[in-house]
Amino acid sequence: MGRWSNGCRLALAAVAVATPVLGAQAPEAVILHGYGGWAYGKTTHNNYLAGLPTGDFRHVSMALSIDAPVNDKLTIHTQGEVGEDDDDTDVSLSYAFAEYRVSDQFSVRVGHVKHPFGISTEVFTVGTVRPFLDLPQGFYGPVGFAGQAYNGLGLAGETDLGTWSASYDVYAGGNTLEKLHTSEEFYHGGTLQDVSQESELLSTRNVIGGRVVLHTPIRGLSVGSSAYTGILDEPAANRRTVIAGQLDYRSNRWTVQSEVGHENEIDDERATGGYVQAAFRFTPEWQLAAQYDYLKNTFFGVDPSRAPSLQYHREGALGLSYWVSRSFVIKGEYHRVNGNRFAMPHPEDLVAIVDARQLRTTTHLIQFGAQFSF
Amino acid sequence: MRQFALVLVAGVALTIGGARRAMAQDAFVLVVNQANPITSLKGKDASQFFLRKRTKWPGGQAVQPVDQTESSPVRRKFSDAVHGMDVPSVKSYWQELVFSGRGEPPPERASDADVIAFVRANPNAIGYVARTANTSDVKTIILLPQLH
Repeated sequence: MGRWSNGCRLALAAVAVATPVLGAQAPEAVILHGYGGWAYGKTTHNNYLAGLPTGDFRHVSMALSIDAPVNDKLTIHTQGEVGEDDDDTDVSLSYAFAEYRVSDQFSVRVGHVKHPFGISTEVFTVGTVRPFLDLPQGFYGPVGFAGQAYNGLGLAGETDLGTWSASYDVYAGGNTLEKLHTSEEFYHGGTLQDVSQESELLSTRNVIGGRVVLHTPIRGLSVGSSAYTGILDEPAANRRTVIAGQLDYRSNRWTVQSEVGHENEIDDERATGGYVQAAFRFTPEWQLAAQYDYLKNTFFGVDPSRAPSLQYHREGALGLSYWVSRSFVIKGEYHRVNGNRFAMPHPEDLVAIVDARQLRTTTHLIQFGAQFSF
Repeated sequence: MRQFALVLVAGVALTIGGARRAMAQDAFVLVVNQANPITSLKGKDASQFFLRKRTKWPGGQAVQPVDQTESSPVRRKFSDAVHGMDVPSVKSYWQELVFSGRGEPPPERASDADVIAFVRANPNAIGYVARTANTSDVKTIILLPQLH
């Protein structure tokens, strides 16, 4: 049974409205882009990313984005996304916002805006801008460091600082992010019969946040930091604060990235995670990539001794990609995961597996797939 | 001795890189509309115009950059010399901006003649064409040396 949110209806309506406009105006008046992909995954134990122990062919996704420049200062950006996996079909609104560009140093963004957090949150599901099929889970997984978008008002710009330059974002409003609650529910003694394998949405209100990225005189090298804080939209109304740092180097052949994040939900949960990733193109087509990522969760008021591995995630991965062009790539990869924060059995089976002392803390995953964009 | 060798290797690498960039720069010329008062442009400024990091001419008009298609040899030379990146890396740069809702790449034209026609028709346009192209309908400007 698919989940059809108001967001998805809005996204499909935007596509429906834009389609006749595309045919009626000059090609550059309304600009259409899209991306998508498919992946197969098989694990030795547990479910993780596209992988199931039995193998799974069902991970597919696609997105359409529409940019409508109203004039040289005002542009409307929208994007809708559809994804399908072993659990269900999910249709969502990635973003829908208006941007008013006062100058290169200052623009105003209002609406449902991509969350400017870290290196890749704004291109979370775009496979043709990264070496692996998925982003490193220790930072971008359903731990809840960053939501895909914020609802509210933001300012953004870039400024020259001589041989350096800086880009910035500041924003205020609310955000919604995906979080896998299985570990927490397990520690609280739930039966997990109603817990989905999919991550669930967590809303935060009264959010203020920002990101600053410094582009160094060394071409392709930048460093930056992101942070936001807000109040969880639930009865306890705990404050939630997330802070992160990033290092990014890109040349024609090399991509080296590292990020670390820390989340603190007062009286509820803490998480620290990060990754290091390096990729090298030894021909224009072939790219080799390696990655290490980790995450450590601490849940307040629970006894984790029954299954301590549900609190952490440590992963190493190797990937080989063949880039037909920068718009179409075929990827194959191997992941070794230690810990069950993300790699775990189906939630409905978790309690029985732990009680039978059959929870496997090491998961091997093989994935391959194709991703494209236009 | 080891330090000397490192300095020597770095010096040779920089010299080779600079020579390659200079050779690439000899393969194309920048063109603007004849009404545009500009006569020269620093490499960094040209890069920022084509990557849309700067969107205004000094007079305040909106810059209209025009690229050549990805397979064009002159675009490869331009990209190496001005951006210090190959064309696929520039494409990746645009993918990130497009899908984060932060910008659109310049329009592309398939030939020198098409670029010249675009620049001639748009007073705020800037493009690049092969040095051998007929540029009598537009204005060529000097690309000042680039310090990468």
